[in-house]
Amino acid sequence: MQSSQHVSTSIRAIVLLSALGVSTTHAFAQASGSYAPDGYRIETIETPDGVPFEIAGLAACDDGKVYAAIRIGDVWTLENKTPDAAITEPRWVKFADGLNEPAGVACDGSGAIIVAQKPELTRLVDIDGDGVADEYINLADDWEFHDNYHEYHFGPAKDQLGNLYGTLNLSHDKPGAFAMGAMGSTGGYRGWAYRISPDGEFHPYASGLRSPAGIGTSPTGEIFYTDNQGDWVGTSKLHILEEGKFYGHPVSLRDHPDFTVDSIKALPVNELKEMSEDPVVWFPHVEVSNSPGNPEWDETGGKFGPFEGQIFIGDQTQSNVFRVMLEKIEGKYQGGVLNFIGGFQSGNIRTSFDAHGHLWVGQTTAGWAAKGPKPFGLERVVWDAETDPFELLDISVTPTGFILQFTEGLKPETVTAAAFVAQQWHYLYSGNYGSPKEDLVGLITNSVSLSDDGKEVTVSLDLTKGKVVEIDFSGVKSLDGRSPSVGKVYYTLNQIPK
Amino acid sequence: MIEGRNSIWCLLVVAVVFIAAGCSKESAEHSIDAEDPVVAISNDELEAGQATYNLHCVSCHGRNLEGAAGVSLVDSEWLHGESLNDISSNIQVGFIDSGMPGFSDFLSESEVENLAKFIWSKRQGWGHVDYHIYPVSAEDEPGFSILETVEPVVSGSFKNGLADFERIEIPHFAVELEGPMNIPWDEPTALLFEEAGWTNANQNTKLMVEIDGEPVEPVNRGAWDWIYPVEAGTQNVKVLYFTSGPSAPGEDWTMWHKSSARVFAVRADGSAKLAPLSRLAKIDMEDSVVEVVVDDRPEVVRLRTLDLPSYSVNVGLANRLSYAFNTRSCAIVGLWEGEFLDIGPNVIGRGKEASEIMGEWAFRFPNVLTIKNDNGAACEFEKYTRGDTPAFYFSRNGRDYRMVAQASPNGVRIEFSSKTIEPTSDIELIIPDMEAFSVKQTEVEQSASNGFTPLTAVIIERR
Repeated sequence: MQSSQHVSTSIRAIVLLSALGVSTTHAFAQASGSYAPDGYRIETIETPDGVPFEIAGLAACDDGKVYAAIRIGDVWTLENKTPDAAITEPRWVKFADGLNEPAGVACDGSGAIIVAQKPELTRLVDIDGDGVADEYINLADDWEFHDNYHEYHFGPAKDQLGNLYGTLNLSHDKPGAFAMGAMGSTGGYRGWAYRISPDGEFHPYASGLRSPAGIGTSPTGEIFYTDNQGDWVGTSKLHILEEGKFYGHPVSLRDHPDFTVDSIKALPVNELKEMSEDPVVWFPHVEVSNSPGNPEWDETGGKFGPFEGQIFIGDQTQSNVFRVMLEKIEGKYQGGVLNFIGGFQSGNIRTSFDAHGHLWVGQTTAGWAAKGPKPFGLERVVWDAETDPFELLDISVTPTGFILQFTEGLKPETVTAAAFVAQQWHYLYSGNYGSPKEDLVGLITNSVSLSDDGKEVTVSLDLTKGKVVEIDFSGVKSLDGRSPSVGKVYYTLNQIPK
Repeated sequence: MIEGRNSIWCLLVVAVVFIAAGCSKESAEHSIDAEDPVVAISNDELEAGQATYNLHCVSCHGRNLEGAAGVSLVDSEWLHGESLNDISSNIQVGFIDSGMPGFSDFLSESEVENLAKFIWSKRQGWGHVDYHIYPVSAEDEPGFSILETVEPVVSGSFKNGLADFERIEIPHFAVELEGPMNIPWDEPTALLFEEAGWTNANQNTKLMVEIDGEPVEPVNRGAWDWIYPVEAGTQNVKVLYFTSGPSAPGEDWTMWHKSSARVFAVRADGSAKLAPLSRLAKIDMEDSVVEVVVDDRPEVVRLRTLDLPSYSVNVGLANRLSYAFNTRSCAIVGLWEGEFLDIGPNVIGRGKEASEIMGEWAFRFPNVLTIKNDNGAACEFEKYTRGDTPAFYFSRNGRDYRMVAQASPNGVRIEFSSKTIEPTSDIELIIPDMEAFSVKQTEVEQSASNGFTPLTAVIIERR
């Protein structure tokens, strides 16, 4: 329980994970190279010496501290008076230790945080104000944890009523588990999301989750979660989390009062598909994401640049951060995704904006492979507040195509139908591990037009409901001759507006 | 008895016979290879050999032959001869340059012979592994009939008993591995093939295991890991592994198969790895030690722990005594003496295995120390506190308790107190019998502290 610069740890022998991170059940080829919008940079934060700082929970809190929960069970706080000090003289204090693989942390008022560890949602309270947690309070443990390594517990996210939400991963390689693919459930709400009311009541909230490694709250208080590609998840995805809904992975239904293991096995795939919620956005495998973390909204008021209100998510395999833009069509969310910045040092699992508008990125490979070479670390994305990036700002669907809005005016001569190359596909719902792009076809770009201010391009396409539409716009240039750092956007077309 | 790695004690590629200690009351005889001599070892010989070992060898080579000042006698590196004669000779002559004297002046011939047999019987895993690598094409269906039609491109032997899949230099292959394997553990044991796509139609892979010429059915632990039961004692273990891809763009499965394949001897239920059987498995196990030790203040670690039930919270006290409190039963489910925990298996790689205690159990689950009055009642775990003396707060049957276990000069003092229960209540404890510890009731303070009035306390002391 000491402050660092002079980190003293009771761990005598630590072997870093780099030598072991050689295997993965995911894909290997990665989108190439480092990329970043103009004016954005990645800064690396030094972590405590000698500590395997595999961050799986990260929160930049209003008190100016950054809390990092690491896999061996510690929670550390980074206390710095200025943003620069985090780089020049990071001051780490171990706030808590001995937890069971915490994979989420949330701020909870002065001197307290809430941690999602595998067997329990725990409130850690610093009673005496010395910067170290004294009490480890059980907020909820109403699910079953069977000691399986993959039974992760993610969260919590908090809504505007004070309810807390978390997600419970399915097991893997668990003897005796009920499986219909790679992942299984031994019961006890594995594969569920839960809600805990302010008075502490546990409520199984929604089912069908697989490996839901990220959960977050939108500016309007809605809860969203991400899930990882695998069995019954054709590619990684983002959902809005709603009470009583089913999100596709069948084995979780064993804890649903209307089902039994036998009745689940007997369900036709089509029926399961009909029961399942559509993701608000699919994340194309390898191109964008293999293992997405938590959704983090840019509510910085412009301190992070022009992307206010959009969602930023890190990926553990791709070592990137990508961006999600949502809109409501027919009363339901859907939207687009595109890469934002790549070339991080390790696998990105957590993102959190601080009060300065910096996007903190917590990193671990957790025994899987990541494009970034290091097994763990902490970085942050900083905008210089001077340089205007030239990127796709937003995308919205129309009855006849899309409107692509850019951050800067476009050179009109680069805005041609040939410069907007589109294709579409969908994903297969099955127990196989992921899905190829089904029915992949190119789309004819009927026409394009540029708005008077030169920033919006209307692209006319023949749209088909239920598809993911990719638009490659990498050929456009800004008025000052720049190309966007990322040239492809992927839109999930659940609904076509009338 | 100190010696370097290249001593007698790291000898032996056993090509002859292994007889597991304690696996049979009868004298056993077993031939691994028709060309090898057959050796019989009786239980009496093993017991005599163990007695000699405990007298002369245990201080350097460890209670379980795992190595200490001297090297491990159970691992795969045996460099100074593989026969019983070699072992006996090396015991007698010694390796004085490495710090190990010869024992010919101290031990009779029969003592040396029994000692050699005892050591030999403890060998873990393959003695040596012969291998043949066959070329296949990406279009081939997974199977082993092809082995009858093509010649191996490479053949050889892994003399250290560790299969090395990275030695395979062709992209699509079938590999045959075969050698004598000793399983010395008393508990049910299995072979674990971990991580690679061992048998997976999507990846065109297939795995087959034969023991003493008979195919063995796997217990599928999951999508990527496969478990095959194996008997105690010695057997010939043959492994056939086929992988031909396909390699989708960006997904070089066959390269991944080679670079991630790991083989272990494990507990039959897969809960703990016992010994490596392949090179990468050995690296994994060697690199997977992360010791949590207790300095001046108690440590609390909540990770999954071998032989303890889920939801156990381990507490290491400053006097080399540790206990585990379970938040589901609100009972103490284990007490051990020694160092605290090796959490490596739980935090290295994907952390599939359990942390392990670094000491000897005084008692462990299913034996528990708990309040008799409410035993079996649902437990509501509230919290624990840290500091110099961790305390656990819970209720059973609506009665609130605080449990504190504090290091005492020669043991641990365990006290239960309450905010609401009358101190005059007759609170009884269930306390397991312990060989190495005695238990005595002790006085409690009559006054409340922080609102908690002591109800009962015991001291568990080393005998």
